Amino acid sequence: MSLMKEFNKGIIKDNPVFIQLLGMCPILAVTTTVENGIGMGLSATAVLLGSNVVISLLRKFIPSKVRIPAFIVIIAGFVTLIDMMLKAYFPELSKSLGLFIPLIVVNCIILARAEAFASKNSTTKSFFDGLGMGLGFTIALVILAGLREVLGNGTFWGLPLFGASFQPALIMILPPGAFLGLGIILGIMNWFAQRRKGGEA
Amino acid sequence: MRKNEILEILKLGAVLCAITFTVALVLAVANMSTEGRIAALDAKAQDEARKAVLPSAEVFEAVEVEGVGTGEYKMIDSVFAGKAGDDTVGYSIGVAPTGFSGAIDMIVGIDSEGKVTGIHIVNHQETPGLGSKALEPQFKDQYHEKSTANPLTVIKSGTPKDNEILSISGATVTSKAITQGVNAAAKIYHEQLDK
Repeated sequence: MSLMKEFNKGIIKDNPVFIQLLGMCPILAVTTTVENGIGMGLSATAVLLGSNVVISLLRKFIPSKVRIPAFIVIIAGFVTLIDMMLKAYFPELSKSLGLFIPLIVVNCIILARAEAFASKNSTTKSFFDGLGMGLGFTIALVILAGLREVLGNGTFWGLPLFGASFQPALIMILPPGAFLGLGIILGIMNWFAQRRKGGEA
Repeated sequence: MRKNEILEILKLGAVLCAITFTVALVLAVANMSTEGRIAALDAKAQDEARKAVLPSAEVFEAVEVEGVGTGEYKMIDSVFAGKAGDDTVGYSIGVAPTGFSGAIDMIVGIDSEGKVTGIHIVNHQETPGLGSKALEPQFKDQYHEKSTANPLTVIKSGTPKDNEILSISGATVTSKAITQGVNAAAKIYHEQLDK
């Protein structure tokens, strides 16, 4: 079914991080622990869903010449609204996600989906596109965060994996580790993609 | 032709204006309805934090100290006296040293004997997984029962002596900032409060 297709494509085929290389800033910045990765991923998914639905509803009303400022205003409005609601009604959740919410405004995946998909497709399709892309983003964050947390801190989801004698490679949770981890994952993905194509590489 | 262009520009402006106006209106309404709750929750969290760093106190009263927030006491945000009955059992001092990325909003408790009773970090933007380890007891509890007679210093390895704090590995800047905050609180305590 075509709705399933819109949902699925974000997870592997058009994964926003590993294939489209979007959202590099949050990917590099918050993947120090798996918990952070999930928090960022789910908050971005919520905003992406909201902005995709609203923008697809307004797609006939927004003239294409001013669409970018219009999208940005709507996305920023959404983020601020969610931030205020979380602070007032879910203070605990806000405490753990508070760090990420303002970062979502500058997450280009959201603008990219608004521009490339929601402004051209129906509301239902945009909803599934947002959900798929959001989950794809979350999965990518968790994979990279998992790699960095295990190697750099010796823990997964805060639980120690190795004995006390394990000396974690601190560089992996420092900023260079983000580039190293992302590079390794992208390299592996490309290698598989080439092989599947039967490429000459 | 020219007239059409002007009309188009006006139309684009009007649509954009309508969108921004609507978003602003929604945000204004949301702000009005959440502002009170957020402020109340913040105040409650602050009060709980003060209790956490100075458990022996029952109530807290704001203390006005001259020069707070400027000059020598630039780092100090607020000073509260912790009372149990009529006695002042200590002070909870809000300080905001500059960490690795932005101010670290924290509260330091000092009892009437000049010992640190605890620190609590209210807000920070330190690197998750590194500087954020300052919130963990392993680092934070080092300040417990430290004497404030001499400024504390940060060491990178080894066993910390009485006036030393073992830095979080990979987050020396954060460790130093927090220690500076504690020292600033100790300074105002000795110069202004402990009389």
